[in-house]
Amino acid sequence: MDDSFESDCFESDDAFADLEQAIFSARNFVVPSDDLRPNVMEEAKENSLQRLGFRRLGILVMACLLVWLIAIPTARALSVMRSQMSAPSTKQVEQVAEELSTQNRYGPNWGLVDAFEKTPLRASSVRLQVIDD
Amino acid sequence: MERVESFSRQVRECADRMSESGASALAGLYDLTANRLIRFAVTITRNQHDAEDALQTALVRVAADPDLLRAVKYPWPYLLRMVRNEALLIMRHRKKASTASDLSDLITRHAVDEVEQEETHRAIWAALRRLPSQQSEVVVLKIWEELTFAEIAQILDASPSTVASRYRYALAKLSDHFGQRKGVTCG
Repeated sequence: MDDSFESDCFESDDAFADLEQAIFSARNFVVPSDDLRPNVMEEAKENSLQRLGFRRLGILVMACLLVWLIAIPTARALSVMRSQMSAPSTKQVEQVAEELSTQNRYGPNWGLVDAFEKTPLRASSVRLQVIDD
Repeated sequence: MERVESFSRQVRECADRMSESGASALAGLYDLTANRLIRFAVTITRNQHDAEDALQTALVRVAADPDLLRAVKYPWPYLLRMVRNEALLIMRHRKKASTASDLSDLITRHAVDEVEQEETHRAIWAALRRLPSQQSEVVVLKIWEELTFAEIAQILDASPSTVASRYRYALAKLSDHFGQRKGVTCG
């Protein structure tokens, strides 16, 4: 045996050689139980499946989070755009036409033309707001 | 050292296969190491059941992360250390070590034509059980695993000189027990 840690005042290696040999011969006396191998394999397999399940769940959660993070502001933006892009109602147009014709002292038909020409879809809501103010 | 390197190489090959194939490749590592690991674990836990629990926990951990063995230079001593740590953890949680003095808890190999030899082996195991675990684990690693004191020191997290002292004291006790003392040489 290759060791440099010899200690003084102990028995020489020869004195223990037989003992070491006897101990060495007993090394295979104890063996694992028959159940151990299948138990180890089973637990390793279950762990592996569990980790795979957790990984997939994690991916699903991340995907949902991503969709939520994208969908909410997108829906909000679309909602704003929708209100901006929506055409004024008939009543709103008639109201604007009446106001324009009163201001400019021309007939309601010209007021209607102005209401459509001078108030485009997006500006119409701003104009209405100005009128309301 | 060469023996340790050779066996470590085999352990690493098993870890590489596990890294590629997953937990299904654990069987190779089990077949290669289980006998050696269980005999080491039993000397720490003093009973077969706890030793097998320690072994199972360590191998399942390796199956979950084969890089534990692939990342170290000598996987075999590292695996021994893993099993030792698990065994010590189990012992820590047990209020009292459950040890059967007659070795009835141990699962042993029976050879029909070697009854006398079996009695000798039984006596040796019983004597090892009487040693403090700090000494018995050194004896097991030195004689059965044929490790050097330096290698054992790394596994046990002790200095090589401490390990050597434990070994000498253990052999002296065993020698007294078996009545084979042949004299003292000093200086």
